[in-house]
Amino acid sequence: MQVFATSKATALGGALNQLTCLFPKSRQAVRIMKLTTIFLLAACLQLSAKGVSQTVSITVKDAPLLTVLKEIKKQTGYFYLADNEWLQKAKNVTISAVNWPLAKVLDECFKGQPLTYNIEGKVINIVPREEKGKTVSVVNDVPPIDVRGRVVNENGEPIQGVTVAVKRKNKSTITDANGLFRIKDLDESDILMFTHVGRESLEMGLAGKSELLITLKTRISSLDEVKIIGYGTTTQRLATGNVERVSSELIGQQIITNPLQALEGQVAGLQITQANGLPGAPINVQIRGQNSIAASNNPLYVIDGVPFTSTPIEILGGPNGNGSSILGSPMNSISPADIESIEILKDADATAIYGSRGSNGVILITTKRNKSGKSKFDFNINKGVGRVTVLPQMLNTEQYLQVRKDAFINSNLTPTVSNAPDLKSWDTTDYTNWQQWYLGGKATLMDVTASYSGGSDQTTFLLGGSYHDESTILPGSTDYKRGSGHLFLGHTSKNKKIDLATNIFYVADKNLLSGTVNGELIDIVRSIPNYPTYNNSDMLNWTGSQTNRIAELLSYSKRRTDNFNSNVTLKYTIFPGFNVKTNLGYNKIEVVQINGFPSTSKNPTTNPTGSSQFANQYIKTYLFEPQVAYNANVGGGSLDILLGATLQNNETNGQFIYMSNYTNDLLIESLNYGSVLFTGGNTTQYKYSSEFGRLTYNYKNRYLINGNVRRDGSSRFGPSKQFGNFGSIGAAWLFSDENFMKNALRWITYGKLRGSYGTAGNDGISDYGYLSLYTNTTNYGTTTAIVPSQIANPNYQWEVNKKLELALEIGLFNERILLTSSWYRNRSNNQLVGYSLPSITGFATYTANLPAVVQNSGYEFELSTINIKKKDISWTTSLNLSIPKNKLLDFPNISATSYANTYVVGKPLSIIQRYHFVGVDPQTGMTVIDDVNQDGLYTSKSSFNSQGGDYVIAGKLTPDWFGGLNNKFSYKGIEVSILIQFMKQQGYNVYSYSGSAFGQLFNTYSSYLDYWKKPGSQANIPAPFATSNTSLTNFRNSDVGVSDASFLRLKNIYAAYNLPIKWLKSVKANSFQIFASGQNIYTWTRYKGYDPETSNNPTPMVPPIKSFMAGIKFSF
Amino acid sequence: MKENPTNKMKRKGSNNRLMAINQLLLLILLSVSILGCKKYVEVTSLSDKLLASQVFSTDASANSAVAGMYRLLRTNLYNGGSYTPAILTGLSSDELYNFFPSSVLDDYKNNNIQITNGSLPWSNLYKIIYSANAIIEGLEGSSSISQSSKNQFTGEAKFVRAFCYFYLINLFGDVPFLSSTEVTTNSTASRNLATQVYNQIINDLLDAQELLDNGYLNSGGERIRVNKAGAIALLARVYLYNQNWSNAELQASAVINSGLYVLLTNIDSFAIKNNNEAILQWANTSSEGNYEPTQFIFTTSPNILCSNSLLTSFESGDLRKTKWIKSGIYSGNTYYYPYKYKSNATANVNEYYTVLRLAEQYLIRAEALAKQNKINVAVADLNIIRQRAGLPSISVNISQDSCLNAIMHERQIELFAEGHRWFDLKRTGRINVVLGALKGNNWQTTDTLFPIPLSDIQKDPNLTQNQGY
Repeated sequence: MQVFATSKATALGGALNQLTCLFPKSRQAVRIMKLTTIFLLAACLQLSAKGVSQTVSITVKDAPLLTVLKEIKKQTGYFYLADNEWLQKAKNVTISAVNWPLAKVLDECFKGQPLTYNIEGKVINIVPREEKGKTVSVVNDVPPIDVRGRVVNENGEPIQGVTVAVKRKNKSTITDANGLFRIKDLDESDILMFTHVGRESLEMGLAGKSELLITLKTRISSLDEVKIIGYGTTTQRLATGNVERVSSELIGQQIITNPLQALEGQVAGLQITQANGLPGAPINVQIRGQNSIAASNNPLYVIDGVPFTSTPIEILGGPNGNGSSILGSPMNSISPADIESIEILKDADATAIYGSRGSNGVILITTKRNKSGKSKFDFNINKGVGRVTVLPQMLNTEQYLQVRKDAFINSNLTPTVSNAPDLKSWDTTDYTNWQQWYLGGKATLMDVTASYSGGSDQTTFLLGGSYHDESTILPGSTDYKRGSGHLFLGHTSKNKKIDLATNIFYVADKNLLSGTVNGELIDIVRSIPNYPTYNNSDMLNWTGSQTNRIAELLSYSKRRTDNFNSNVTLKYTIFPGFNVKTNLGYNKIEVVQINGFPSTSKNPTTNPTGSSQFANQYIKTYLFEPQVAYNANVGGGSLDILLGATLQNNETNGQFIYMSNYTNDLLIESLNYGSVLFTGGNTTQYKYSSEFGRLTYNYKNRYLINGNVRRDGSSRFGPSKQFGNFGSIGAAWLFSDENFMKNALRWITYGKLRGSYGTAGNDGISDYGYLSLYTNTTNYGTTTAIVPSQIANPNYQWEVNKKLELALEIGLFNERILLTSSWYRNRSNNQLVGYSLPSITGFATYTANLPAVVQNSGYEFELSTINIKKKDISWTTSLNLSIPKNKLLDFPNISATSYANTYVVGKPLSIIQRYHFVGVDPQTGMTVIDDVNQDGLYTSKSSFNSQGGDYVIAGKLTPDWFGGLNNKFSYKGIEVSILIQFMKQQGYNVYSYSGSAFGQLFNTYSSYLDYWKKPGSQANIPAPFATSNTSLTNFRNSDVGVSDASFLRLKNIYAAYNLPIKWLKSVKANSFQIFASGQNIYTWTRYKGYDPETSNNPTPMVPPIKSFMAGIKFSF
Repeated sequence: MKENPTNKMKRKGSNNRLMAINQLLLLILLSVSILGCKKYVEVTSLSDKLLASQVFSTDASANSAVAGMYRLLRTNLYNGGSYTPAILTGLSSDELYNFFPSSVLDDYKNNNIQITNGSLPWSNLYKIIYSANAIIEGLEGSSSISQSSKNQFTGEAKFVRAFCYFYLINLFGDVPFLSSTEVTTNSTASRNLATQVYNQIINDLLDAQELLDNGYLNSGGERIRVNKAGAIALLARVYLYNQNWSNAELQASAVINSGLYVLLTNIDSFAIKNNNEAILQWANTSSEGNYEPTQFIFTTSPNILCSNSLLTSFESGDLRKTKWIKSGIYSGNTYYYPYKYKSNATANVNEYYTVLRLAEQYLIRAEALAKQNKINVAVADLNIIRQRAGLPSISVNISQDSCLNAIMHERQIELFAEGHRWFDLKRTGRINVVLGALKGNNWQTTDTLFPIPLSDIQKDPNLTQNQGY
C-alpha cells in the first residue's frame, strides 16, 4: 500500500464531518456527490503545506524513518512520495540536528538505508537505492496497473484541473486541488498526456511506473494572463464572457491626470470622451453605447471590490462651476500610479453578477499589490510641458470692425457710442487675440511615484506614494496638485488556511483655477478684439457692458477632494476547494469647495462687494460581502460554485452657503465677515442588499459553461418593487483542442467560440423617487405649512438590459496572431425616466418606467500580433475596432411625451435635430431653410412625431466606428510604443457655437468671413446684423453647425532606454530606465472647431492639451 | 493503519474546531439572509425630507399639512402667475378689461383662449385637490391623531376639495373627479358628468358641516380656515347653482341666522382682516400682500380696469360706485378700476383676500326665495343689501321676473370683481345674449367653457377637449 502522509481514515472522516456540518439536512448530498475519492485525496492537502524554512531541527533516537520524514514535512513543507513497502524496509534513524540544511538531514537519514532520495520541487522522492531517476517503478509489473501521481508547477506547488488523458484510449481524469490524480487499469506501455491551461503540455510513457510526479511548465501566453472578474478571476482562454484588461504598463506610459484617460483607444467597445482639457474635467465613459434615456449611463466602478461613485459629487459644479452643470470626475481622485489593472466587463456573462448595476458595464480597478514577497524599491520621476492642440482662427480687429460696419448697414442702423463703442469710442487699431491670450499658455506637469514592497513567504506588503503637479494652459494662477498614499498588506497563515489581504489608499487633491471658467470658451471667443482692457488712467476698463477678462482672473475656484478607500478580504479554507471569504470595504470621498469673487473682479461702477460660495459634500460607502466558494472535480470536469451576499450602505451629505457683502477681499474665504445670501443641503441614504451565485463547469478545458444569478434589493425602489432578479448564462467551446482540429488545422493553436445571454439592470436614478414626500413652505397664518413635493409611485422597477453576445477567438501559430471578433446586441427596456404626468394628478412628472426599448448592437474586433520575436528584438501590434449601432427600437406614444422633439423611433438616441440649411438668398443675404412641412413658416420643432416643425435629423453624436492601434518595438534595452486613436464621427462645429450673434458686439471665427456682402453676391454665410435676427438664429439652428468630426490621432509615443543589466549589478539595481513620452501629439482631422474630441458639445470647450514629458524610473 | 491516541485526540480537537467554524459559517449565512431581506432596504425616515407617513403621525404635523393646503390655494390660485379666477372670469365676462395688450389676458378678454394658455387654473386646482385628497387619505390611515383633529382636518380638506371642484366644473364643464392620490388611475382618468361631480361636492360639503366646528379653530380665531358656516355658505351657493331652491334657502338662512356674521356698515372695510362680514378669507404673512389689488390699482399706468358695461350698470347714488371703484388719469384720459381692496402693498397689509362673505348669502337667499315665488321675503333680503349701498328700497309689489332681474342686477353690482358674474350669466342662461351683444364676432356659444390644457389632453389618453377648441 502506498502511504501519503496522513491516514486516509482521518481525512475521510474529517471531510465527511465537514460536509455533514455544512449540510446538516442533506447527508444525501454527500452520497450523491460521490466525493469519497476526492476527499481521500483531499486529505493530502497536508502534504502540500508549504513551510517557511528549509532548515531542520530534529533530535530522535532510533525512530522510524517515517517519523523523521513527517517532522521534516512539518518544518519545511517538503512532502515525500514513497511506497509503503519500501518504508517498512527502512532502518530506524538516530539524528541530532539543529538548523541543519534539509539536504544534510536527509543525507544523514538515508545513510546506510536500502533507500535513497531525490528532491524534485518540494517533493522528496524516496526510491530503492538501486533505482535512479525522478519516478519510481513498481516492483510488481503484472498488468493492469493503477497509476497515481501528482502534478506540480515549477515551484512544486500542486496544479489543479490538469487533464490527464491516456493516449489512444478513451480514458482521462483531472487533478484535484492537491494536484493528485489516479487512473486505473492501464497498460505498461500506455502514454499519459498532461494538458492544462496556461501550461505547456507533456506526454509521458508509463514504462511500468505507477507513481508519477509531473512538473508542468508555465506557458507564456497572453491567453493565460489572469484577468479580474466580478468576485473572481479568469483568463482569456477560459473566460465565457467578454472581459478586457488594461495593465498598469499601458496606464503608466501615458501623460494623464485621470486614470480613465489612459483607456482612450485601448479597448473595443469603450468610448471615453473628455469634456474639456482642464485637469479634473468630467470624463464621459460609455461601454457599448447609451442604454438609458434618462437614468444613468455610467458604468459601475468597483475599486478593490468596493463600489465607487460614478457621478460627480461637487455641489458648486466643475473646477470653477459657479453653479454650472459642468462637473468633475470623481475618478480624478484616484492616482493612476496606484493602479495595477483596469478590467472592463461588457457582456451579460461578465456583468450579470453585478445584477441591478451591471447594465452599463462594469469597470473594475485593482490597485497594486505584492505577490512575491521580494523586497523591491521602485521610483519614478518625470516632468513635462503641455500646450493646446488646435485653435480655430478668430477675426482680427480689422476684419471684426468691417463685419460690424456691414452689420449696421444691414440692420439699417447708425452706429453710436452707445450701440457701437467698438466702432465709435474704442481705438480701432487696438488688437488683442483673446483666444490666444486665454489658451495660448504653457502647462507644466510633474509626477513622482515611489513604492517599496517586500515581505516573506507568508506576509507581503507594498507601500506606495505619488505626487502629481500640473498647471494649466490658462492665464492666472491655475494649478492642480494631487498626492496619494497606498498600502497593501497580505498574509497567509502557516497552514495556508487563512488568507488575509488589505488594500488602503488615500488621495488628496487640490484644484485651483482662476477666472470664472468652467471649461467653456464662448465668453472668451466673443470678447471684442479692440476692447480697451485699461482706460486712460491705466485702470481696468469696464465700459461697453463688457466683462474685463483681466479683472475676471481675480476670481477663483478652489476645490479639494479627499478620497479614502479601504478593503479587507479575509479568506478561510475549510478544506481544499472549499473556502469562506468576507470582503469588508469602506470608502469616503469628500469635496470641499470655495469659489471666491473679490470685489476687484467686478465692475466697480456697481459698487460691488466681495462674495463667495462655500460647499462641501461627502459620500460614504460601507460594504460587507460574505462569500462561500467551492470547487470540486465532478463528472470528469471541474466545478466551481460561488455563493455570496452583499450589504451596501451609502450616505451622501452636502451643504452649501452663498455669502456676499464682504468689505475686505482678503476675508472672502471666511464665513465670519460676510452676510448669508442663501444656504442649502442634502442628505440621502442608499441601501443595497443582494444575494448572488455563480456556477462554472469546465469539462476538459474544452467545454465551459457559466451561470450567474443575482437577487438585488435597493432602497431606490418602492416596497413591493425593491427586489429584482438578474442572471446570465455563458458558454464556451475551445474547438482547437478537439482532435479533428489538432489533426487537420494544427496552425490554429487556439480557437474558441463563446456566447452569452442574460440580464443586468440599472438603478441609476435619484433616491426616494417612489415616496410620497412633503416639503416645508411659507407659513399659513401662524401655522407652519408643509405641501406635497413628490407624488408616490411605488410601481417603478429596474431598468432591464438584455444582453446577447457571440464571439469567436482565434489564435494562430502559438497565438502569434490572436483575433477576437464579437457581436453583441443589448436591449434595454423598462426605461426609467422622469415621466410626464397629466397635471390632474397634481404633479408634472414622476419617476416611472417607460415602455421604450433602446438597442445597442455592434461588432468589436481585437487583433494582436507578434510580428518579430527574437532574442534582442521584438515587435508587437494590437488593433481594436468597434462598430457600434444605437437605435431607439420602440417608444409607444412618443408624440405625447416630452421626448417628442428629441427622439425618433428607429434612429439613434444621439440624433441632432435642426433645420436643413439650403443656402443664403443672394438678394437679401438671409438664411434659406428647407420648409419641410411646406407651411411657409420656419417652425423650430421636429418634423417627426407629428410635431409639425421643420427640424430634420442633422446628424448624430455617436461614432460610426472607432478604435486604436498600438505598436510596440523593443531592441535590446530600447523600447518604443506608439498608440494611434481613430474615430469616425460627427460633431458640432464653429457655426454651432456662435452663429446667431454674428454682427453684434461679439467677436467670431474667421470662417465667417465668407459672408453675404451685397445683393446678388453668392455666399455661404448669411449677412451679419447689428441686432438679433432670425436669419442668423435659423443659420445657427441649422445643420451647418453639425459636420464631420472624424479624426486620426497620434495619441501617445513612449520611448525608453533600459540600462543593461550588467551595469546595474554593480549598484544592485534591478532596472534603470530613461524614458520620454508624448500625448496627443498630432491629430489628422477635417473638423472645423477645436479638438474633435470635445465636438459633442454645442459650445466651444477648452480643448485637451498636447504634452511631452521625460523622466527616469528605477528599481532595486 | 493503526492510529495512536494522540492522533485521535487531535482529530477530535480539529473536528470540534471545524464544527465551530461551520457553525459560525452557518450563522453568517443565516444573518446575511435575514439582513438581506426587505427590512434592510426599506426607508423609514429621512433627515431632510418628510415622508407622508410621518406627516400624519401627529396632530401638529397633520395641522401643518392642512395649513399647506390653504397655502397652496392662496399661492397657486390667488397670487400672480396664473392670475386669479376673479380676474380671468371678469375678463371673459363683461366686468373687466386689460388696458395693455397681453397675449395671455387678451385670450380671456376676447373669449379666444388658446389651449396652450399657461394661466388656465386647471392644474393649480388639481394640485390643491391632490393635497386635500392626501390629507383625507392620510388621516383615514392614521391611528395616532386625536379624533377631534381628525374631524376638523378632514372637514377642512373636504371643504377645500369641494371648493376646487366647484370652480373646475363651472370653468371647464365635465371634469375628472379624483378622490384619491393614486397616480396610475388618476393619470388615465376620464371626465365625469358635472352633475356627478356636483353630487360629490354636495356630499363633501355635508360631511364638512358635520365635521367642522362653529369656531375658527387652529388659526387663533382668524377667519382664514374654514368653519362650519363656511361649508354651509358654499353649499348654499352650490344648491343655488343646481336650482335646488329650497335647500339653497335653507343653507343661506343657516349662515344668516347663525349670528356669527353681520354686514359691514362701512363698505370700505370690505377686505379688512377678520371683519364681521367675512366668512372665509385667505391669510397673508407680514411679507405678503393681496395680488388682485396689485393688478387693479394703478399708480403710474392702468392695468386691469372696470368695463364700461359695469360702470354704467350702477344706479346713481350707489355708495359702492364711489367706494369700490376708483379712477386714475393716464395720458389725459380717466380710467376706473376696482377698489374693493384698498392696499396694493406687498407687505404688512391689514387686508385679507375675501373668499366667502355674508352679503352673498343674502343674495343667494333672495334668489332662492324669488324662485319659489316668495317675493316679499326675497325683496326684503335684497333691500338689506341695497340699503347698505345707500340705495332706495325696492317695492315688494313686483313680478317674479322683475324680482329676479333686480337680484341679478344686485349680484352684478355687489359682487363685481369677486368672480361671480361669469358664473351667474352662465347658470341663468343669459350669457349668449349679454356677451353676444357685447363681444360681437369674438363670442361663440362654446366659449362658455374654458379649454382643457393641451398638455393634459396629450398625456391623459382618456381626456377629451371641450367643444370649440
